[in-house]
Amino acid sequence: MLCDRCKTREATSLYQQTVNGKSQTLHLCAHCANEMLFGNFFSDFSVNNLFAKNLSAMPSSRKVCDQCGTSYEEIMESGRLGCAHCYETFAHELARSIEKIHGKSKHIGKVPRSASTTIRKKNRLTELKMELNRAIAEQDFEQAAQLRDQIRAIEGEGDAK
Amino acid sequence: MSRMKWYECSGDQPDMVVSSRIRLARNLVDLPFHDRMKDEDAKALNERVLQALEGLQLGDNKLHTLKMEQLSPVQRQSLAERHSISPEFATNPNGRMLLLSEDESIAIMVNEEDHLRIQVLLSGLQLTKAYELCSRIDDVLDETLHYAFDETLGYLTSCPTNLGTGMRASVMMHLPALEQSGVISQLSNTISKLGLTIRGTYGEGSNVIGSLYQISNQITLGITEQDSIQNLQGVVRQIMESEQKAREALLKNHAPLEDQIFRSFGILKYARSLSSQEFFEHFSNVRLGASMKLLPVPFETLNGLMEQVGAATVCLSQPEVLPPQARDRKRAEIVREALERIEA
Ligand SMILES: [Zn+2]
Ligand SMILES: [Zn+2]
Repeated sequence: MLCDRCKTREATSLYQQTVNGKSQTLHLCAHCANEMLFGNFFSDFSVNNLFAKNLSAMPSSRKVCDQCGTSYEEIMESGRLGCAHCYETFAHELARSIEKIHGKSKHIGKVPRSASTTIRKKNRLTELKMELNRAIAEQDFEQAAQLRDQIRAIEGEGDAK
Repeated sequence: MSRMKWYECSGDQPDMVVSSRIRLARNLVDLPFHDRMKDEDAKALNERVLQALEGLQLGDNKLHTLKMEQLSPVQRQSLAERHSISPEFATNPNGRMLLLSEDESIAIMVNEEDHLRIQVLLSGLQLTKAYELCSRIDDVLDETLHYAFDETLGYLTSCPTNLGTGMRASVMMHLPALEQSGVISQLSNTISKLGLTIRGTYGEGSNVIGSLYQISNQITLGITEQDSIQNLQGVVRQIMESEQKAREALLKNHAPLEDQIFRSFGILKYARSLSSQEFFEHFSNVRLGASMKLLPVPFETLNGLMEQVGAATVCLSQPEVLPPQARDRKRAEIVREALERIEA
């Protein structure tokens, strides 16, 4: 009998693995048995298949990420995305299964410093643009010109980086 | 003198908790994820990570750079056995790099399923300390590398199961008494309702190998790192209480348990050949004996043994890979040496 894991070597031992009370019996070769014995330590991170199983076929699945070329079918197949931009491209397709897995849809944990600067900058820009609109509406052109300079300066910072 | 390894140091609750581990999954904003990376992207990432790490202060706990393709298969397999890398990382070494601290507590895998997997592993129950160190390394890396992050989805990971904090916290527990009383599957049902998961690997018999179980968080989005750790810690403490009660119940039938523990100690101390399975079976009894103060074996010695008995690790000091029988003899030799001066 061939090994259930590598499907190339002869199975020499019978293994039972239990995840959350569900048992699975595997016939393994010596090499895979050894990997399973120690490799199990890492399996908590690789539950991708669970994610792939949660994805359903979508009529819009012709779509391809314009940054990395990954299609929705490929994501369904592997459970993995091609790049950060895929999350935008397939936001609609992924939303339901993301919520199904986590039970929530909004991050509330740590924010990396690099992003917090961007987020702060974004908020400041929104603020300034609102002030600018108000200044224009009030025909305060001196104020508007000043605000425009500020906005340009902040936007310019991003380009320089 | 070289620095002590993480498993040679003592942590909280060593009688039931073997180790605590935090792992963070991170990706850079300006590179495609692993599946879509070209060879030169992977190379560039390795270089950039090395540069970014120049800003990290770890005192005398230096980081060693290990290019995976420059290591032999045995060396890679041994790193997987000692929990520094994933088995997949060991099997497919191309373009991959590991940064491993002198005490082996810090392991940064570069070019894994995510660009970075930052891991801190400490002995006993030390989740908060492990997280703090992990987070500090994380900050230093982000400063130069800039992570892919979204306000709503959190850290963007190759697989959406890790979105949000991108953090897995886990605790390896030794639960021989709960296992014997047959309540583990019941326990796992309760645990999964709390967004946590418990795992053990079964050997050829009916027992989990070494009665060692891993409890970790399953959910990463919509929860803070601190809450995740608190939840896990709370559950671990409850399990410890139940294990304690189960151990006390076992002790009521003292004589056969004592006999079992001392027999196992005898086998580990004197055997000339030990398979991995056999080692873990007796190891579990001896560990229980140490917890019950029946055997004077320090937990540091026991934790250290676990790290040294893997099939590849026992071959490390040899010029070539040993055949199974020779491996079992080598394993017995390592175990004998470790227990040589301990008298029951
Ligand atoms: Zn196999
Ligand atoms: Zn993409």
